[in-house]
Amino acid sequence: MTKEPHERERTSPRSLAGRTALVTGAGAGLGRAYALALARCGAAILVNDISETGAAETVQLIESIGGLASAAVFDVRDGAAIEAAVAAAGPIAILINNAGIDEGKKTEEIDEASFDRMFDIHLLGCFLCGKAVIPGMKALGGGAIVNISSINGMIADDTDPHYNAAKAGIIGLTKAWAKELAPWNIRVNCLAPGHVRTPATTLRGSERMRMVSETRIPFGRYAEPEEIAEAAVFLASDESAFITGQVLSPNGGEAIVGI
Amino acid sequence: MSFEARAAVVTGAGGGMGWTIAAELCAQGANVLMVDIKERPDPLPMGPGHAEYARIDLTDAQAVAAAIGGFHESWGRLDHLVNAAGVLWFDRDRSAVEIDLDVWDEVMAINLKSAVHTVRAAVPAMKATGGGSMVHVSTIQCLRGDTRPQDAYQASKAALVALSKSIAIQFAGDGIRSNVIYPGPTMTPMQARWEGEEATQAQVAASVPLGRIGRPEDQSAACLFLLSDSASFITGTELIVDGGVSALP
Repeated sequence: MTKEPHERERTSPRSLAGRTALVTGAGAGLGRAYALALARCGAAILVNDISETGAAETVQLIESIGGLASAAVFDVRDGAAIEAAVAAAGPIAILINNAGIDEGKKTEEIDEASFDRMFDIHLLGCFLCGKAVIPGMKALGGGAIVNISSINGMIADDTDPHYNAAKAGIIGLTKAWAKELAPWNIRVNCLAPGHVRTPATTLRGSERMRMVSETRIPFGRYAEPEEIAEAAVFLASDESAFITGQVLSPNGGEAIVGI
Repeated sequence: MSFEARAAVVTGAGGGMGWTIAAELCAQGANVLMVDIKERPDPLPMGPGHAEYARIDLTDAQAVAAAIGGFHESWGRLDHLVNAAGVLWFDRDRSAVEIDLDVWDEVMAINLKSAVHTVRAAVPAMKATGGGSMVHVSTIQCLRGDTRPQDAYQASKAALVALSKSIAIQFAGDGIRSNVIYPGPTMTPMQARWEGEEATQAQVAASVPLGRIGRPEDQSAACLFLLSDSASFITGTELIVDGGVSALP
């Protein structure tokens, strides 16, 4: 019989003290929220973004709450740059593969270069960052990878088919890695957010946000980035020690009506 | 403590996973009504939250309504409901083509209808204070088939998922969230057949990609996350807690 909670020495399974987390695309929006939330739990953050300014701002925000952070400016499609940044940082215990883009295009507007860019940033980027941190995670005796997909990886939208497909691909990559890396106690899960209020979604206008909230989201609102970040922390921490190969989707109930 | 001053009802709390979930809630400050047909465990969780025990038959709708109603009245709120009660009768629960139909009905009553009883009692109480959250305990077994079936268990647990999704959408506007966990192999009294069977345990552990059998704490951590405000935008979903078993082909 296991010990009852009051008999056990309680250390918070949420604590990430002593662990380094690489968060890609952390210079703004959701990526920044993930970085801040992990930092609040004690992780040292390697803040990646392609924008030097964005990365620097996130580092500053983390330091202002007493956290540890350093910037790592690279393009997630650049394997050599990723390897160099990871080598400089030391073993990474947590990877949040977040870097991504969307375009708001229909099929006939998408040329091959646009398609490739979409797939390379999402899928190749996830793959290369994972490949770079896996040796360090093995050396540490385990790790947690959280790949950021989207509700559109499961339930399609009528725009950006290449985005929908890339996000679905991230779910496939997650399940394959979960199986491959479980023997090293490296857990790999997927976070698939629904609609979130970010600088990118806000740009599309309050009228669209109101329409989507009212017609598609049972909760009647967009998520705040912080709510999604809580789920990322759960998947990155020992709270989810027995969870691997899964997709967790904070979507305000949208997935139930979306199918 | 993220559950401080919250009021929570946990069924199947007389042992196993339900007990661990109730004890963890209590340890994080919740006041917990533990419901089970089993004898009252002694001692109950020590707190800092308050724990009380209702030894009732969950298939008795009136008894459930009275227990949850009384608990709601005494704390003035009901924030969380966990449906962890369930039976897995290896000896009597068999293939649909050969199961004693009374056993089928009994399993459905305990595993599925009891959740209907608790939900009926909990929803109005949660609405009264602006919302709440529920977690229903299903099983990965209902995602697959088995050559050695427990069809009543499997079907009842699958139905619980459908119930959860429906509740989630019906009451999203009332601030009530409803989610499911699908535990994989977990060391609880339900798997008493593994006790002392080192070879069997090793075999089960080897079938799990993470290389071990789950602990009740693995399940309670996932359950408490979904119950908590950390999951404020998560509803109508299922979370598989199985060490990677279902990520296998």
